[in-house]
Amino acid sequence: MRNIILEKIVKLFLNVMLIFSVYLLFRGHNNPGGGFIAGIIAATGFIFYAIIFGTGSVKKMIGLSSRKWMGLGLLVVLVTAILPVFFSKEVLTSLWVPGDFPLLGALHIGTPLLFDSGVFLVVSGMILTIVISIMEVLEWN
Amino acid sequence: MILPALLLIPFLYIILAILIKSKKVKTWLSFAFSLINLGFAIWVMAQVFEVGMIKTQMGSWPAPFGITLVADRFSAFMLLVSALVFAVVTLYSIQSVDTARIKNGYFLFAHGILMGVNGSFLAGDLFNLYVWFEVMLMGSFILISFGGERAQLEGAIKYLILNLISSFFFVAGIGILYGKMGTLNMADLSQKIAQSGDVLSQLSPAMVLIVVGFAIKGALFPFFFWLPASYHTPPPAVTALFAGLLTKVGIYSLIRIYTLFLYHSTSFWNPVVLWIGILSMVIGVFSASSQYDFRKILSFHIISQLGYVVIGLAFYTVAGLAAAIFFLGHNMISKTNAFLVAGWVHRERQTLNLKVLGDMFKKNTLWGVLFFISAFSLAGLPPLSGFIGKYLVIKAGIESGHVSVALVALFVGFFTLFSMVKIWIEVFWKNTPPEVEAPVNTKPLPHGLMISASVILALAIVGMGVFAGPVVNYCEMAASDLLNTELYINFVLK
Amino acid sequence: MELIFAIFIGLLYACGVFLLLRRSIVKVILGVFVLSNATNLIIFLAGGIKRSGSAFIPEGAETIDPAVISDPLPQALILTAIVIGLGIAAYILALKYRYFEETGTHDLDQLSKTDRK
Repeated sequence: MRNIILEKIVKLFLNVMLIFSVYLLFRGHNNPGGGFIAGIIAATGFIFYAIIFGTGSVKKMIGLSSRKWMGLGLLVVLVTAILPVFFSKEVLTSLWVPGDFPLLGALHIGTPLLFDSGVFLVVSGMILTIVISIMEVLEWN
Repeated sequence: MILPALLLIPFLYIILAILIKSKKVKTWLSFAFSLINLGFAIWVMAQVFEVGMIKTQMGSWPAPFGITLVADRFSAFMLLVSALVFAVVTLYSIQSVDTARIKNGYFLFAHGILMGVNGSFLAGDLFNLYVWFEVMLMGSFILISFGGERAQLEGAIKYLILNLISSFFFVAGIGILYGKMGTLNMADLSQKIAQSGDVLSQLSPAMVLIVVGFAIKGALFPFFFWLPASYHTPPPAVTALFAGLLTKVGIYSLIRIYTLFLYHSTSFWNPVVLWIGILSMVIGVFSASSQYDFRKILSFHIISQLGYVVIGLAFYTVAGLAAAIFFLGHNMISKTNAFLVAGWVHRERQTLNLKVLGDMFKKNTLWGVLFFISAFSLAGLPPLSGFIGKYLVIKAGIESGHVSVALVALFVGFFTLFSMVKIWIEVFWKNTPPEVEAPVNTKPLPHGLMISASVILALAIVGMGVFAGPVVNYCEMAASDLLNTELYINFVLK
Repeated sequence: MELIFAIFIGLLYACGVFLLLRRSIVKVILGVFVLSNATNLIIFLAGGIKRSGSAFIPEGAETIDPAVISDPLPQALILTAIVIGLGIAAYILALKYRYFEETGTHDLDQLSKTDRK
């Protein structure tokens, strides 16, 4: 049976969760937050969506399979790890982009953010993979 | 820079294996990456051979705070041997492991194990060691249950639960140690322990927890039950990989913390570890001689052989430690090769029960010779590497005044020989029992890659035996480095 | 506070070991989870329990008095251990499910086949 109120709320909820997760991702380095938590929150949004609309709709929304998503996240992490080597520094050293940006003002952007984004992708991909596999085995809908 | 490469190469393969679909590309990439890893291990060895130790501070954070990767002579030796074993097993797996498993990511998880093993050999602080242990264990959990046959699942549950408990022991030990000492960097810890005085009463709870954790992982005497219950269930290539790499990491870590933390209270630890070693040797070999499964006999012999390494450590002399290091390297190679031969027998006859096997020497002489080399190297016949290993252990025992222990080691050697001769006669020499229907093999299965993999390891066994001089010299240098704790501390902290 | 915490951890360990010794595989797995959490709490306790600020050096300052911040390392260690625990939990439940599908039993007594000769 379709439950229209639930469907509307879940759609809204997914958007809120995604925006909140991105907010947590960006405030991560200097405040509580970071890629891991953001990834879990984003994945939770998708899981709610999957509970109501079925796993197929979530898969369609993501586009890539969630396993590939994890691989992509790992790739981002690897790139962050070896990027400093080209600036003759040790592996995993943080690099920072100095200076002001037009329109945005003074920003403090560096490889930790990139690393966190990789973690974000890995964690959300992993949670989605686990939960979607379980839902498919149990024939949730 | 070259130390992180040993971690990043398997990591890159894992990423590629997730993103690439083609089975053929994944398979050959896996072999190529294992060769690159071997190349880097040789490079590390060459560097360490000249300068003694190399280190990397991840993220440029200085030593007691950041993550340190250290390679001294001992870890470089272990890295090289494990890289060789891994490359050979990968080559063997290409032909031996069935298509379904390879398609579902067999090589991905194998590289996960490699990454964990390399990380454990390089880790410079305790928590990092734990994390690499877990990386290794996750890979092995998946490989051991991969395919989901009934026996495999059963073995996997036992393997999983006992190894998880060992991890909890280890982490609890780390937690208590951190609460007491306020640091986890191994060099820093060693220095602080040396300054703190009353070591035995202060740190024993933490140390006992950590040692028990390693003893479970290394399958030493009272904690070995998971090993023979699970190692004979997965495909033979997986067992060969596990036998070559996993338990040895536990023993490596035991030697590392023994030479860094436990040496202050040798009057307490030496007898304990000595008895653990003796009982592992004796009980392992007796249990093995009552078995009638090819791989189960070899599994029990893993326990017995690790006993030799541990008594070498418990003598706590340069000669004893050198013997332990040599024996560890020899055992990784010989044991893996014995399992590789078991894999061929399994492929030909679909069973490894000694009672129904036979005639394998007639079937293929070269495999017979390969088994002969690895089995009699394990039993300790000259001129193979096992002879040198046992000779060194027994000599070190006599020199340090443990004559009775040396006698036990000799005695255990006879029983090892008995088990190996039993396998030789039952599997290779005797005729297949007439009541058993010999499988009609119309077309011989291809085994070119398998046999070349095994030949490489057999050559390594003979080489380690015939040209033992330089290897033993290297092991002695490694052992004296290990005993000189100050050297390690000063190198890491400065 | 530390004493209460220590007793609580001891209780958790007792529960975990009790569950590990049960015959049902599900209870053994639950025991593993309880033990894993108890171990994480040990690390937390080892860092010392006190109310204090987060471990950031304020903007402009070079150092900070260690007395006003809490030790961040145990929390980082626990986070790592929890993540590892999450992966293992997912795997172990999948393994249990597959085993149940294959054999239709929860009984550990059925798990004696690989130990026989």
